[in-house]
Amino acid sequence: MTWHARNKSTDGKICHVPDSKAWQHIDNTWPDFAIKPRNVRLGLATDGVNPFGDKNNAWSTWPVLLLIYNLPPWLVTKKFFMLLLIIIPRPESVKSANFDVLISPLIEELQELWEGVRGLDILQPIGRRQFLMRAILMWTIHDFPGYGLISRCQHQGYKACPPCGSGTTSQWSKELGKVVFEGNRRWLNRNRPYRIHPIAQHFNGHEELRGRPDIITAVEVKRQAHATKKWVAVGNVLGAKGCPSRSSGMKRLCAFWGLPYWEVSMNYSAHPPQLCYMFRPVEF
Amino acid sequence: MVQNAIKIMEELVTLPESMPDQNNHDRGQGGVDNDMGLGETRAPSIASDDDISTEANYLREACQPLYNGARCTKLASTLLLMNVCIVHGISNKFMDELLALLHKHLLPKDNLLPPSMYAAKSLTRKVGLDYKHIHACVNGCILFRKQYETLEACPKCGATRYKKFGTSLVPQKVLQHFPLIPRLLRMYRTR
Repeated sequence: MTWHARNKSTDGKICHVPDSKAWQHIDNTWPDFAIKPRNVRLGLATDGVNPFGDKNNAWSTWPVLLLIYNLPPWLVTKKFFMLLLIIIPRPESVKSANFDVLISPLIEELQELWEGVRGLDILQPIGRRQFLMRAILMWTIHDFPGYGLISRCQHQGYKACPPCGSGTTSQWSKELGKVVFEGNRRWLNRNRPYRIHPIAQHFNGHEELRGRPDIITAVEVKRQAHATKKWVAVGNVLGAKGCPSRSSGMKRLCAFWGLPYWEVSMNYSAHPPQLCYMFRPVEF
Repeated sequence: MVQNAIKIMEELVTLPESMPDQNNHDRGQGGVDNDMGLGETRAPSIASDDDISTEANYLREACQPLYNGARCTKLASTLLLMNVCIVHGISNKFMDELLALLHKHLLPKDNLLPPSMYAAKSLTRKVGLDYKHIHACVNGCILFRKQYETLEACPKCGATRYKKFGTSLVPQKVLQHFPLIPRLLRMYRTR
């Protein structure tokens, strides 16, 4: 369980999860947490599975798993070391409104773990075994619909890009019959030929001169969620025409905001998605 | 996959004597086992100077050999049997009868195998391999715990907590919650 402390990369290259930026962000933000390698770092994974695939296609059960990143990387995703936390039983698929309620026992436990739990480490010599174990949830792992469900941001419609948020470039394509997102060239370097003519005409016909979207901070997310909450409180329907969530992309603060450290970790997440980040879901 | 799981379990369920053990100076008497299944407990041992919880006492008790000269411990053999029955989707009643048969007729008289499914389950529950049933509103509005513990219907949508199934009441929806904190603590209590 303390493998990660002894095996950090020394040459500056990213070899394992402990060398990632998200990990180092935690180390820098909470040095008192990082200094004790026995503190547990967790990742949460969830998705809908159908145990009755051949009998009932509509069934969807949601197991919630935790991965322990203290372990060596070749053990983290092994069956014996993944912790099954909650089985959410449902004949029908999980709604995002319900998901927060159903994982509330887990959130309470994580809150308690962040404060610290008295533990025993029997690998230590007698007399030095008692220690205060703390744990942090570093990131969540799921597919894109699951991302929308867990983080409560818009994952469908015109503002479906979480890092771009309200600045998402999208339009309805009559030919394809669906919404197309065409702002992906914003992420390229400024001097790339794809951004300008003549190659630009092979994309949507326009030159792309904008830079990367601004970082969405935790304060911003909170403000957007609050605006949506106010809209709903008046008696309007969430997601209806004129709802702030349609322009901002933020519907509600998810249950993980109940964790005392989530806000700080969220601040880090709003970076370009090419690298490995805190709170940035890994898509499979 | 099933074969593989059984093989791994068999590796894990051998008695402590057969395992090479470098530092057994602070290891409690017989407090050694594996319990596969959930995979996080392996060869636990509790030092004599540390405070010993009741769970550890149960674990020590469960780690006795199944009978005199057995290769397996009581806990390990129970878990092996329970696992193989669950993997193959065998009914609890069959499991009940199988355990009774083994206990009464096939194993030596001094064996410690639980004689029924109920006894087997309470054995695994005592050593901490347990989970909580939390009743939930059928629409997912609330969980029936804390202030809602005793309610019969959801205060938000009005859906009933139970449905009638013949003469008995069956909860509409049950969430299975496997407590996290004891499992993380157990990882440090084990070798």
